[in-house]
Amino acid sequence: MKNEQTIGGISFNTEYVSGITEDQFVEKYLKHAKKHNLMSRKTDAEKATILKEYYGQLKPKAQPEEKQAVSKQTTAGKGDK
Amino acid sequence: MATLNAVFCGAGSGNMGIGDCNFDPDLLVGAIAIPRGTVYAASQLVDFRATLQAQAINNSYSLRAHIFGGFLELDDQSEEAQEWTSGYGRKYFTRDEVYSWGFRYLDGGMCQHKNMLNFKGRERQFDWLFFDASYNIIGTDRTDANGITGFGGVNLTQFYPYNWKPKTGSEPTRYMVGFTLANARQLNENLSFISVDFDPYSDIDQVQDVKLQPVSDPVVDADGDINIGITSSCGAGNLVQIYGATIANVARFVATNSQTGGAVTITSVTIAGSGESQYLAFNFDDTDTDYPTAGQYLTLTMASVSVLATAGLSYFEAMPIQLEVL
Repeated sequence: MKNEQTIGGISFNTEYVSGITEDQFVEKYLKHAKKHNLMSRKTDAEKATILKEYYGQLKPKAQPEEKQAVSKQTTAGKGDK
Repeated sequence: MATLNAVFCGAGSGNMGIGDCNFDPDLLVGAIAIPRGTVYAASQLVDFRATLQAQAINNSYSLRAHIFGGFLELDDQSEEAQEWTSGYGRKYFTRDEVYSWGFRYLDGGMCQHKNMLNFKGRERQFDWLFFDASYNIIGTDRTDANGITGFGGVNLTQFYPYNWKPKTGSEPTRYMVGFTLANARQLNENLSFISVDFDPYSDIDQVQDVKLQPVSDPVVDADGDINIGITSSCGAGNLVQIYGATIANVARFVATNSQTGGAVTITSVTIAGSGESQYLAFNFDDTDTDYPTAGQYLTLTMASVSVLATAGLSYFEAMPIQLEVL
């Protein structure tokens, strides 16, 4: 799948990530990490740093041209259902 | 071709010579349910293993074939042909025998039994082939929409998985499935068969049901999160533990608004828990215009059989679940 990338054990929808800001991403996945006990030995600040790195890796995956070409349906493999 | 006021007596055909190589059905060891009306053309019979394999994992359930095998013995419950004796002593057959076969099996135990129960009462959805211990697949002549004769399955009036009976000190658990054929002519005058070089039951991969189940809270919370356990439908093997990152992938799942059918974006999927208790933590995009409003439902299922197979998950199909959104 073009718009999927797994980092740190989390499979991300890169098309979704490309549509949100770094702050929104960090806030969302900081909450997610706490809820699921991910990166449990890290402080919140350390987690945020790691998440910013994730965001940096994920964001370029879905360029504007590519985003236009990939429909929301195919994002989750729905076109095959 | 029918002719007005003329009875077809089959005159002009029928001789009794036979060749040196003859077909004699071996022990029946399995059956194949194929979509109703299937007519295999000659080209599909050339590599019937490939044809049947493709059918058995077809993405579309209505086009899928299902193989029942491991039959261990036949309990022949067929009705004998009916005979009438005239007052002067001459005998006449008044109707043909009606085939009714019960086959006992053990493979797959209760899982197989429950799978078979899913087919009860659905006789009109399928035609049926039988196969023997010598890899002969037995069916009937079928004519396709263009009038070309091919190979097809027979009709059943009843497919009946009997209630199981407990094992005794001398016998294992008794699992039995019954087939009552609609028309004995299909397996006599119109019998067709193909001899193959594979065992349809053990050599053809089939689709397994997968069960998605909320781990604790059965609702999608206000952050768009829910935890889902993924198990094989029977036996409850934890597929998250078995397949790990192969299954923990947003591309393996499909979410839709249960009311509108609109696609809901799955933003991330994470493996959580440990060991046999591993599950997937899903997050949905609650800003998606198709995201259900509070109190409404979203439907979660897995991608198609072929998409999963391409990803290394062969061969699974999930039963969709509906999840309330907070």
